[in-house]
Amino acid sequence: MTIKRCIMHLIGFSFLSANCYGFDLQVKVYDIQGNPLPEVVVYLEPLAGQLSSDTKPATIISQTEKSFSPYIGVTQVSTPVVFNNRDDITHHIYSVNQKMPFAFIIQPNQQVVQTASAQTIEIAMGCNVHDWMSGHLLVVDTPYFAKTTAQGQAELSVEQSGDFRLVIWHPQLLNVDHRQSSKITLDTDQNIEVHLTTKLASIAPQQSDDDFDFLSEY
Amino acid sequence: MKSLQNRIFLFFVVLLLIVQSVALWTILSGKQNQETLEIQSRLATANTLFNELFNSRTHYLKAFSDTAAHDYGIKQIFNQDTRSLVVALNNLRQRIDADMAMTIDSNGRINSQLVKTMTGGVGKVRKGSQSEALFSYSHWLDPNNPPTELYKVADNLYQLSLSPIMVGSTLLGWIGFGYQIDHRLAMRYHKLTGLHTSFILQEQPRQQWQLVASSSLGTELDFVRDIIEGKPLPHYISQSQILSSYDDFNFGVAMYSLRADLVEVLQEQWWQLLALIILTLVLSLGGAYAIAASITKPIKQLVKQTQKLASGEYQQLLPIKDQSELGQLAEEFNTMQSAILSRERAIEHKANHHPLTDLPNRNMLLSLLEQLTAETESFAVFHLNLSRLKDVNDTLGHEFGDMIIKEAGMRLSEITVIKGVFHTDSDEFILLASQKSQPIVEMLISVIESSFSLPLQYQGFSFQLQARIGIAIYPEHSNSTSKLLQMADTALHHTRKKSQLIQVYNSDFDVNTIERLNLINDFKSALVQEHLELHFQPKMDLTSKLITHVEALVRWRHPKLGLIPPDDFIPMAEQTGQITALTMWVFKAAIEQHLLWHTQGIDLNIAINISAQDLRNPHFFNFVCQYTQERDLDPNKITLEITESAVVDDPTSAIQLLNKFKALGFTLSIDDYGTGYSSLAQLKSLPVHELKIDKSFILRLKEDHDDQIIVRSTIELAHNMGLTIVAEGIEDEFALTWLTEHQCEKAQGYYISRPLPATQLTQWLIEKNNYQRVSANA
Repeated sequence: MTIKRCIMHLIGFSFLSANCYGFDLQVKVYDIQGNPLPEVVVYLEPLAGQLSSDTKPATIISQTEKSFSPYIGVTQVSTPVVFNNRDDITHHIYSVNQKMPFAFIIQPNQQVVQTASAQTIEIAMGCNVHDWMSGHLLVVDTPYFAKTTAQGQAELSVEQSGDFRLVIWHPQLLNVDHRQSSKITLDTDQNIEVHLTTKLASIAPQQSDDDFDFLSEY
Repeated sequence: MKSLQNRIFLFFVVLLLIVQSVALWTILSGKQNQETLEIQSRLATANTLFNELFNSRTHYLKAFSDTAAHDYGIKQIFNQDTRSLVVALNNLRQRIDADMAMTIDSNGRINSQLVKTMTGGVGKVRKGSQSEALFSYSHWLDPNNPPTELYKVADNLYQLSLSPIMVGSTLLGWIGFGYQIDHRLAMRYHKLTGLHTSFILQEQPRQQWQLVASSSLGTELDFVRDIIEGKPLPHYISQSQILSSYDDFNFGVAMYSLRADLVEVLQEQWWQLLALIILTLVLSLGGAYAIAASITKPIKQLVKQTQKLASGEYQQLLPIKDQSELGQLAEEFNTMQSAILSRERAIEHKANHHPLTDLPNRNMLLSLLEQLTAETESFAVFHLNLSRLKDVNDTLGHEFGDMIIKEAGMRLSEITVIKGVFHTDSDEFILLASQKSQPIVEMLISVIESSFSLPLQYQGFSFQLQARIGIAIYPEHSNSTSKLLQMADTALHHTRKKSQLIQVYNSDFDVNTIERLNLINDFKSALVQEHLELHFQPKMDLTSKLITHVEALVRWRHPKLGLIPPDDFIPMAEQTGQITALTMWVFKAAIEQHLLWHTQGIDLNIAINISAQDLRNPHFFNFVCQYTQERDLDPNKITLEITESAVVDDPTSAIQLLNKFKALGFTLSIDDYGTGYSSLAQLKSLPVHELKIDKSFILRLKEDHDDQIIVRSTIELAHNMGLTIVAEGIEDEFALTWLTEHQCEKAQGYYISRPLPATQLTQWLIEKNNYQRVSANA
C-alpha cells in the first residue's frame, strides 16, 4: 500500500464521517424467467473512487457432506479466506488459477487459511480426491458486495454517494465474464430490480453418483 | 410320338433339365458351402469379438489402475484414515464404473475394498467381503509384473488388474479395479455375435465346473461343459475356449447357437431360389413347347400338302409367311407343285391328243361319247378314213403323208357344226355331230366334201384330199359307245368293199362283220381240211382264138357259209400272215390240175397270183423250185402274176427274186397294170414277160375314148419293150374285137368265160373245142 493510497483513504474516511448516515441499496435479482434468483453475487464498483475504509471480515468456505459450502464464495481483495473441513474424511482442495494458486490436504476438522488475491478475480476450486466437489470464489476490489437471499434479495450499505457500477455475478451466468452490470447513481436509499438478460447454465450437483452407504461400513 | 415336334420338345426338355440340374447342383453345393462358410465366419467372428472385448477390458482396467496408482491424491491419503481412502477409491472406481475396487497395503492386507452390486437395475456400492483380510494371492504382488487376473470376491468373478502405488522406489501399496464376469457380459456377447454365451469356472483342476453366467436363462451346466470339452452336439454350432490363470483357475467360455436359427435366413433365401428355378423351368418348358410347335407347324403344313399332292390335288398352294428355310422350302414346294402340275397337264394332253395333229385322240373320244350317250340327244359318229394315204407314204414319203393328215385334221376342225374331231389312228378321224335328222348328216357330208375339195399343194405336186366315211347314229343304231364306234367302222369297211365314199351303218353289215371274225379262225382249218378249191378263168389267145392260158383263182367253200369270195378272205390271209401258205396251196393245186389236164391232152398255162408277202418270204422261192422239180414240170407252163404294188414295196429284192424265177423259166406278169404307181423306169428294169392291163380300163372301153387311148398306148409301150399284153375284164364283143384289132395278145373276161371249177372248165373246153392241145412231142 502506497502513501498516496493511505491519504486517499484518510480523505474518504473523513468525508464519510461527515455523512455518516450512508445509503441502503436494496437489489432484487430475477432470472430470465422472472423468478427471484438466490445465491448470486451482487456488488458495486465505485466509479469515482468513493471507497469505504471498512473491510469485510474473512470469508469461510467449508467442506461439508463432501461438498463446498457455500458453493459460491465472495471476498474483498487481500482478505483471508478460511477453508474449514467439517467432514470426517480428508479433502484435497486446490485452485489452479495463476493469480491465486493453492493446493492443500485438509484433514477432518482442520482449518486452512489462504489470502485472497490483490486484484479482482474469480477462481474455481476442486477436490483432488472427490471429483464431484466444485466451488467458486469471487475476489472483488470493493467492500460493497452481498449474495442474494432465497428471495433473490441483497442489501448493500454505501457510505458515500456517487456513481457506481452495479454488477451481478454468477459462475454459471452465460454472459461476458459471467457478469451483468449497469451504472447507477446513489444519493439516497434505493430499491433496484435487476432482470438477468441471459440464462444460467445448470449447476452440477456436488454429489457422488453412488450413495455412500459403504461409508457406514467403515 | 415320333413326331418332329415331340422330338424337338423332348430335346429341349432334356437340355433344360440338364441345365437346371447343373444350376440346382451348383446352387445346392453353393448353399452348403455358404452355410459352412457362414457358420465358420460367424464362429470366427464371435471368437475374435470375445477375445477383443475381453482383452480390451483387461487392458482398460490395467491402464486405469496404473493411472490411479500414479495419482498423487490417492498416494496422499493412502495411509490416512480408511474412510477417506474408500471415498477416494470409490471416486476413482466411479471414473470407469468398475464393478470392484480394492487397495492392498504394503503388508498385503486389503485395506479397502468396494464392490458394486446391481439390484433391480440400480447399482449399489458396498464394502467388499475381503476388507481387512490378507490378500490371498500374495505371490501375485510383484511390482515388476503387476497382475491382471481373474479374481473371485465372494461368489462373483472379476477381471482384476492390480497396480503398485509407488513413492519413488518404495512400495506404498496396491490399487486394483475389476469388471465382473456376469450375465451382463454374456448378454453383451449375445447381442454382438448372435450367439448364446456362457461362462463356467473350475477353480481347481479336476474340480467341479460351476456356471458363472449365461446369456440364456436355464442354461444347464452339463451342456456348457460339453461344449467346452468339445463334445459334438447335434443341431448346434459352437465354439469355445478355456482361459487358464496361473493360479489353476480354468475359465471356460462357450458360444453357441442352434444351427437352424443361424441358417434360417439362408433357408428362406434357398426356398425363394428353388421357387425361382421351378418357375423358370416351367416357363422354359412352355417356351420350348411353343418353339417346337412353331418350328414344326410349317413342316406339318408341308406334310399335309404333300398328302394332298399325292392324291392329285394341285390347286391349293402353300401360304408362305416366313422367310426362314422352311419358308424357302414351302416356296420350292409350291414351285415343284406347279411344275408337277404343268408336267402332268402336258402328259395328260399327250395322253389325250394325237401327237401329229394335236387333235383329241381315242381317249377323249371315249370320254365325250360317255357323256353324250348319257344324254338323250341324238348324234352321229363319222368314221373317216383318208384315202390313198398308204400309197402317198410309199411314193412321196411319210413327210408328205403326215402333212396330208395334218391338213385334213385342220380342215376338219374348222368345220363348225361338228361337236368334236378326234384323230384316232394315222389316217383315221372320228367326228361327232349333233344329229336330229338324216338331212344334217347329208349336209355334213357335203360340208366335209367341200372342205376337202381344195387340192393340197406340195413341192409342185397337187394332191386331192379324199376320204371314205362310215357313219353310225345314236341312239338309232346303238346306245353303246363301243358299239357305235364299231358300227361306224363297219360302215367304213363297207365303203371299201363297195368302192363307195360314204356309207351309213346298216344292220345287215353286222353279219359280215361277225363272219369276218369267224373266218379268221376258220381259215386256218380251211387250208388243212381242203375247204379251198381252185376256179380257173380262161385267157384267149387273140390270134388263134384258142384258150391257151387260165388264171387260177382260189375259192373258199365254207361248210356253213358256202362260197366265200376271195376279196373277203385274201386280205384276211394277208393280215394273219397265212398268205404264203395259201399261195403254196394254190401253187400245188394248180400244178396238179395242169398235170391232170395234160393227161387229158389239154395244154393250159396256169397263172398264179403272187402277193407281196410271198416275194418277201425266203422259203417261197425254194418251195417253188423244189416243187416244180418234184413234179417234173416245165416252169414255162406256169405264169406268176405280181401286182405293181407288190414290187413297189421293195423293188431291189423283188427284182432279184423275179430274175431268179425268170431264169428258171417261169413266165412273169404284172397284174392290175395301170392302177399302181410304178414308174416306167421301174417297169423297164422289171424282168417280166407280160403286162396285164387292169380291168378298169377295159370295162368301159366301148364308151370311153380315153381308156382306148390308154390301152392302145399301153399295148404299144409293152410291145416296144418286148412284152406281151393281157387284158382282163372283157365283157362284150366290142372289147374283144377292139383288142384283137390292136394286137393285144390275150384276153380274159366274162364275155369269154367266168372262172369255173376245173371239171366245168374241162367240159366247157371240150364243148367249145377251142383249147390248145398238148403237143405230140411234149
